[in-house]
Amino acid sequence: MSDSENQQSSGFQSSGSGRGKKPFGRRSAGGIAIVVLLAAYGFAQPKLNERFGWNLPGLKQDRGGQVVVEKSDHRNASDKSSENTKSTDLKYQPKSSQSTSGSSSVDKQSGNSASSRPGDSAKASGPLASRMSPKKSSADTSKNNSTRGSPPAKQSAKPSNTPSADNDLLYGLLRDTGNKRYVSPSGLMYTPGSAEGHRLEHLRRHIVDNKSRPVHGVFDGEMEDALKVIDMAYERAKKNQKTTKSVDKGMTVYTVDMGKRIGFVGGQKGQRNRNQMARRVKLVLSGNRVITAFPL
Amino acid sequence: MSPKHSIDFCPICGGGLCGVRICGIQPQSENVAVQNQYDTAHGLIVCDECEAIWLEPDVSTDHVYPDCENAACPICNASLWGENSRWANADDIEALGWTAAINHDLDINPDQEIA
Ligand SMILES: [Zn+2]
Ligand SMILES: [Zn+2]
Repeated sequence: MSDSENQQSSGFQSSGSGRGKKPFGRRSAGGIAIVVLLAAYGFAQPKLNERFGWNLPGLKQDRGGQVVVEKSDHRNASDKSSENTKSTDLKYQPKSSQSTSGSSSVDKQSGNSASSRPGDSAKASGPLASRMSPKKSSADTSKNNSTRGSPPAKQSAKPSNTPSADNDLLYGLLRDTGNKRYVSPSGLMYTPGSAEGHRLEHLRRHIVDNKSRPVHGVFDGEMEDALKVIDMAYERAKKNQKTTKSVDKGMTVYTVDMGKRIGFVGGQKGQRNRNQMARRVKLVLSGNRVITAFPL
Repeated sequence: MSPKHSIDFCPICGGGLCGVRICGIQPQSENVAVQNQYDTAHGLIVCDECEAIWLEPDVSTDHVYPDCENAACPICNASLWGENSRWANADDIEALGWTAAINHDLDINPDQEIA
């Protein structure tokens, strides 16, 4: 959550700036060394992210000329503060995706978008802002840590009654068009259907690992994060960017390379392979209606 | 819920399991004599991701897609996910005569399934 992000940001700043927190005011040898280190970090950060699929925070200058850590949607696997947060809320496990109550879960969500949505973080941000700069929760990290023995539980770590600015948007992204149908900014439709009763409930299966399956693609983050990734994948697919497409009897199957980590390969095979990261999205559509989407 | 028994990974979407589904059964079939339970039963192979359906336990044969909002069995037109249909267990599959097609590496014990 933002607390952990703040902790991380301040931790990074202080380590880069020394205890006195006035790193750039003095022209000392130490100050120069720090500048050199920050420059080296700034140079290496995007390359490391690209090379290893990390999400190291970037650096930028604030208005006062201070170099600060950029807020990003990273999920640093070594973020201890996030790991601490992980243990705070393991209560919510989205059993609804398993049960026959899938559609009723969506009913509830659409009925009151500001509260009691399973998997909804009730984030206070505008629809496009949230789409473009997703705010990551600490839960992301914990899920990715499933390779290290944590249960594949998706925890919400979210207040259920927190007001949201996105009162009309499901998961801060989807517009309710009635009859349990939701449209995303890129034009994808999420409708009733699937064994779970609603495509969103089916999608929820890909928010948590399932080690009973031979292989199982899992999105990083929560529902809103997965939905944003899927939307970005569809935008890429429409532009034929790093996309393979096949059409079969009215069904369109896209495989979109997102160019960075968007999830991991879970299930038994994934476990054997240490849950290698996934950077591609498989998107199965009937017209603009989502049938399924998952990382691979 | 995932299929209990599958014959292959889905050749269309790559991530789904082509699971055996038995349809045309009576609800609460536990209370129905086994021989009657299967009187009108028929098998389907259904991908649990993209919902492609095969009528034979062989994914190299032709497939169909159900209506994406009201998926129905292509044989009896009952709801694909309704109470007359379920992921087949070993007894169901034996009754269908499809046992030999099962790839047991893809078996899923529903008691172990988490999501
Ligand atoms: Zn499939
Ligand atoms: Zn049928």
